[in-house]
Amino acid sequence: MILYWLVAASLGPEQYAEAQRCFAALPTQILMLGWTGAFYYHLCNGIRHLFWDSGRGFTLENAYRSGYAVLAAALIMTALTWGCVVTQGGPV
Amino acid sequence: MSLRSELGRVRGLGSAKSGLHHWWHQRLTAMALIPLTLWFVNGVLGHMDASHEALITWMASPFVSTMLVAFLLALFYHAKLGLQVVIEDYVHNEFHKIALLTIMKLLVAFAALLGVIAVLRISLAMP
Repeated sequence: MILYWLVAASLGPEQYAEAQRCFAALPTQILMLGWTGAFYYHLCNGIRHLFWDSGRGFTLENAYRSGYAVLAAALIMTALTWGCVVTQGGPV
Repeated sequence: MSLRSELGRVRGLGSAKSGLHHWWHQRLTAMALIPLTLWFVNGVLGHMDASHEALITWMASPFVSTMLVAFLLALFYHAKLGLQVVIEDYVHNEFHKIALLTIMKLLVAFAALLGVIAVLRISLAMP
């Protein structure tokens, strides 16, 4: 999706307009909503792993706590991002 | 046959070399991608309704072009490292494993090049 966006932009206004229409379509929007969630979850859980690499947060209690924190943070960040999309008059 | 224990023999020799390299690069790209991905998402959100011309002007600035290329390189290298682990861990047939690893690496390299070329086309076309 990122590659399509970049390549379309590099090809010219007409190709970019076509890409814009594709991104605005409902199936694409649903896909991108899912990817946004997966991306933020991966990002937050990755930070959790980097923290674990430092040797901290290994008690069972803390592992559960950070797990739920990652889930909550990913949901909030996804909601914020799509809040921006909707309020900017973007699709949906 | 040596009577030394397995542990005694490996101690002090370090790791299996390329494994540490892989592990470390995965973490390096992970750390680089934290700011890069957040910057990218913010940039996309800021240009959702922008005209093609405005988008191109933004992308062609030296800082933005550099960030985009850095983002693409870190992203696809990180993806290659991650996919490699998945294939190595879950594909048990040696032939399938080597074949998949080869195809995956070529595809990821192609994708990275495609993205970088697109950014450079935009960046270098601007005076």
